[in-house]
Amino acid sequence: MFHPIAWSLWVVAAAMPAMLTQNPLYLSIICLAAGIVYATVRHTTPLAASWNSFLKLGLTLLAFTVPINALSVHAGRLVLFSLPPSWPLIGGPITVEAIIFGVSKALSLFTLLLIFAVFNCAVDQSRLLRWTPAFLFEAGLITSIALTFVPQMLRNAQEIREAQIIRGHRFRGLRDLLPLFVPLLTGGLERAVQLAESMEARGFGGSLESLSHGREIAVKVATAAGLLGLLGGFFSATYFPDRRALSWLLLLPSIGALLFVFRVQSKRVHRSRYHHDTWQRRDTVLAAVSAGLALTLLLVRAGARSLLTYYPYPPFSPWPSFNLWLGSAFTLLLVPALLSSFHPPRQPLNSLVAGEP
Amino acid sequence: MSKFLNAVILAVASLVGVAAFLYPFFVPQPSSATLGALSHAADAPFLFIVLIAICLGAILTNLQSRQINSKMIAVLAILTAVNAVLRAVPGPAGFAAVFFLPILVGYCYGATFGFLLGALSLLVSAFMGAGVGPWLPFQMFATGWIGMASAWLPKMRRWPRLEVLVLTGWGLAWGFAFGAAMNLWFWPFTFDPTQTALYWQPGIGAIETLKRYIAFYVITSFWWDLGRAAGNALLLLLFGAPILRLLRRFQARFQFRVQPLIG
Repeated sequence: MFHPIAWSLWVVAAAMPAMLTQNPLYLSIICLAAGIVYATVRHTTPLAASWNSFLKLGLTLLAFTVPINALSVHAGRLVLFSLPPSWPLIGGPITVEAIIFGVSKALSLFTLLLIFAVFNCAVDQSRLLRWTPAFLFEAGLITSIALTFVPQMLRNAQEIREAQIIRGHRFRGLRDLLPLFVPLLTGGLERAVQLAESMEARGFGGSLESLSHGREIAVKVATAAGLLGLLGGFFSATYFPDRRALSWLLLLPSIGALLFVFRVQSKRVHRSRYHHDTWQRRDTVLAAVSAGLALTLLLVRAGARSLLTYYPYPPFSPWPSFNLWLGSAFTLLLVPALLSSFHPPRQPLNSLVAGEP
Repeated sequence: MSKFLNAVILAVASLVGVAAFLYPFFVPQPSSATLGALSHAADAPFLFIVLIAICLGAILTNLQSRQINSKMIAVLAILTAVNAVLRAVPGPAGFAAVFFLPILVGYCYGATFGFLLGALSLLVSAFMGAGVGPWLPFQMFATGWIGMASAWLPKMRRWPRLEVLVLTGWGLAWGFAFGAAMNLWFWPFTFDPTQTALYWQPGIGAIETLKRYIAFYVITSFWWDLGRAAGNALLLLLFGAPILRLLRRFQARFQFRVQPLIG
């Protein structure tokens, strides 16, 4: 399919509007687009089965929250009918506004679920992990070792189980988990000792430049100060929304400090690549469209915020407004589905090699 | 000095994390009921997801500068895999044994180790099929805290019975705390300005928010969490002692050092 970076950009471009707007018209466009993309990527992985059930859970959530919202919120002018006011909680007028708002809330959560379902089905995790930024390389390394060990772990569990069955051990209750779990953990830790030894033998960490003592202290102080500044900036932005200068004065230097830290840490790592990912023209198209959409959305947010907001209760109109430009911009989220239907994906290189006699 | 700074970074990042979790309790009243103010309330959840992701990045980067060695990486990776598999084992009523191992490992191997195990095993299990989503940074943080805080328990190696009982109570308490914290990320998404019993509104004050949150929690997730907390506590009670023995044995075995013969 697409390059993991291109997919990540698509997820950002899709999840941002899904979280930032409450307008049910835009939300349904995004939801529909994500649904169509999901339908095209669904077949590529067995993981999709678990996501299908996840999405069903989302649908039941929708089926519950909409009536609850409609029954318990009694604001609004467009009254459908009234329940006797003596009934606790649900007594009172039932309004169209409450139904619409409930639908748009549930729709935004469901759309988010759908977008991440696409991401989980479409992106190859090991390819994604290869793109871990250099300043996170250790965390990425631990994650990829763990991911490669998981199948081995499951096989070990099965072997232990078989050995127990041969000896007539029967599984009766929770207590019988211990004879399974202890050998599993012991075996795993034994393997960790071996792994550590072989990493040492191959000179792991040798290509890592160590920081000088002063620089290390500077990096740590910059990290702590950057985080504190970020926190302060967020607080001042929420508590004193009028004093924009103060918030930016706190936020910009702390973002700068964190970027400095990430840069220093990245420079220490020299990585070589064994496997080269191919970046095709379709990836460029998807990345460009997604980045453009995300940028547009940020601009709309900064300039014409009211285009995105929606609030059905009085004094505002219950009917959502619709901007044709913005609405059609959201249909751009369909690009992955369109591209993969017009150009079937190229055969990956290693499968061609494997096919040769 | 360096160790002290590491603790400071972990503490500051956790503070930011707590703020990101608890922001529904302190976001002030919008100045007037205009559309602009309402939309500002709506993007707070989005901003805090970004903030919490940056914090995780900072913690994990800081790991790098402390010359983390191959032993730590190997053990962390293996334990992470074990914990991710434990989480994938389906239990009754949504129960998953995620806290069991981070609590024991954090208690035994220290705060950094516990935090990393908690945070990374949730990442791995998300990749394995539990799902990557906006909830992931919050889950990683919350589980990391469980591992980190377990290191602060007093060391009770000489009283094994007491040790197991304390850890069981600890696991029970964290089961509920985790559930309560994890509802917070989506609770503000469901806010409805006119629903006054259960949902969040910006600017209603900490006490009122707390009252509504407790109502929301008891109605929606208390019973669910009860199963999870009790299950983890039971695991700790039954298996805590043997697993602790195992971890301590390997702690001694991981003390090997490499002596270069050449150069």
